[in-house]
Amino acid sequence: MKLLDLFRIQNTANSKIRLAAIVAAVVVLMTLPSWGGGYAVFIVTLMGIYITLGMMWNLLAGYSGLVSLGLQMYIGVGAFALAALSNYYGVPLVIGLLLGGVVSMVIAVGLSYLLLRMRGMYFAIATWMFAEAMVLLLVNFEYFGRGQGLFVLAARSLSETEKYYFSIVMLLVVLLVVVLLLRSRLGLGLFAIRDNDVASQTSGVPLFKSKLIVMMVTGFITGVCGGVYYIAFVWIQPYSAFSITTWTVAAVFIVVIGGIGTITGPIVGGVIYVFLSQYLSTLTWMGSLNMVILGVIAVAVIIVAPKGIVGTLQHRFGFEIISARRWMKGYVTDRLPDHI
Amino acid sequence: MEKILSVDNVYAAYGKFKVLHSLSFDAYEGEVLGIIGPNGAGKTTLMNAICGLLIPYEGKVIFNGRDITKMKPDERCRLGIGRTYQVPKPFDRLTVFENVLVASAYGTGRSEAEAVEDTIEVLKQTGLYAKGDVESHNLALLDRKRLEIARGLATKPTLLLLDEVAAGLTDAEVHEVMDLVEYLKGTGITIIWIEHVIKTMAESTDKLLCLAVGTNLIYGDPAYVMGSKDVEEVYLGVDDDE
Ligand SMILES: Nc1ncnc2c1ncn2[C@@H]1O[C@H](COP(=O)(O)OP(=O)(O)OP(=O)(O)O)[C@@H](O)[C@H]1O
Ligand SMILES: [Mg+2]
Repeated sequence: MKLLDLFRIQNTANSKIRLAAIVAAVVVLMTLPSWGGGYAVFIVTLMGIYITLGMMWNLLAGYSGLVSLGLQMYIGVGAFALAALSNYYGVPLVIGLLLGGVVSMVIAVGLSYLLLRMRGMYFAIATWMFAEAMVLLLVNFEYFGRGQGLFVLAARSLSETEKYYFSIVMLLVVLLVVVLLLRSRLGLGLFAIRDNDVASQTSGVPLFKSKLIVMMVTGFITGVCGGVYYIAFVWIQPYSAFSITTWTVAAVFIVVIGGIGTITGPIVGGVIYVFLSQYLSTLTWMGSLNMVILGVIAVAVIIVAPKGIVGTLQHRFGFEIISARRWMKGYVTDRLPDHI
Repeated sequence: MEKILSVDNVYAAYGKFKVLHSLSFDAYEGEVLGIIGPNGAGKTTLMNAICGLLIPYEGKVIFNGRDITKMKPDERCRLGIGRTYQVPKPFDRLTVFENVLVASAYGTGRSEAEAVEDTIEVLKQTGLYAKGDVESHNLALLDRKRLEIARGLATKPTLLLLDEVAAGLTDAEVHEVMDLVEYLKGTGITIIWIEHVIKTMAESTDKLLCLAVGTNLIYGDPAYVMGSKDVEEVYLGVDDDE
């Protein structure tokens, strides 16, 4: 019963359909390897990773006003921490993933104290610079394989199905965490900060503390996400693990396409991104031109539908599949006008 | 009457641009202190210094005997200082109910569940109840002004700062807002009320302070301040209906 409350599932037809859809989606995802082909398993593994990444950038930029260009820092740190722990100390992969997340989170705390007082553009550039500095530092150490990087040795013996479950379980847990966070008191404060950070403060919302918690959550989850990606691909090449184009550009694309500041936007954006980037990568003659194409598509969406796909649909139909809205009519018994 | 707020020899600037200088005055519990002054005199800046958005580079702000000069805005809010904005700043993608819920939960340090009842009460008091589930970017100016007051009120302030709540409204709308301010006075909350157009509020205040170029020009009973030569001079050539 409690769990149903969590998802605001009520005893209405609408709610039941939604509940059925969510349950069906989870069942499909959890059973996919037993009926889907190898390619489907691979594609959905990627989707789990990129949707998670998109949700993290959305949490920062869409809900907290923190436009970060440095998510790749957590990816790289989480991945290298996992490889080092697993290769050198025999730490099991799942524990290594979580510890990699913790290391990322510690770095996020440090960054928060250094950067959170900066405004917009300066914050964005600074996060990027720190990520660049981190890889330049890291490649000096034999421990991290210098410019060659490391293999996640234990991941070599995993099947594609096992890799798939790492990704999908992460995705489902992260989605749950994001929904719970946005429906908590912290989430309400974040919405206020997103809409007006000055008025939020004079309404009692602690700006630094709220942003610090978001930085910690995104640091941890993105760190785990990096580990999951390199469990799937085994070899951590440092310059690509810490690359702004591989990670943050992808995250921005996913969120802008799907709809910034919406819960389901990164899901739609992530699915599109994976299909599109897979298709573009088959056109080998294009080389790095595919970044340009992704950029053109993103700009086109910003012009045609600045709210993104999900944002535009929600605006048009006034319906959210997963919502963090606090309706007053849920608390009062007398009838209220349904419209303005 | 107990002193609730002391502004003591305050100097404040935006970067290098100095606005307030050697400004001092006191506000007493339960009174309505009106602040008037021409455009750019520093009225809003003074409010920023009281609510914590701007830290004075010299001087002190004392609230209930406590030095709050350097305290953060959210802490001051929980301590009992509420405010409204001259140009309304709603959380525009949130509904009216959610806007007030933020203030009711965070402004008093309560959980959302504990804050719901008061939120609904405040919406009723401010005439916004019927629009509770409307996204606030859809509101017209009068309702935005109401929402400012509702949010300020929801933080359960002992001192409420009103920045030009009547500005920009039609005469009929001004009446509605004035009724709301009358209601606030009845609750016993101390009010510091800024208005650029003097006649709207002169009669409803206990004391008036006139600011000019960042410092206090004159302070006292409304009749005395309004009759003063100095006040007439700073407003000279300024149309009262502007
Ligand atoms: N954020 C800011 N940065 C720089 N200067 C500012 C800022 N806000 C206000 N000022 C300047 O400070 C001076 C005082 O402004 P303030 O807003 O306090 O005046 P006011 O008395 O509230 O005027 P009004 O009646 O127009 O609201 C003005 O010269 C204004 O241009
Ligand atoms: Mg002003």
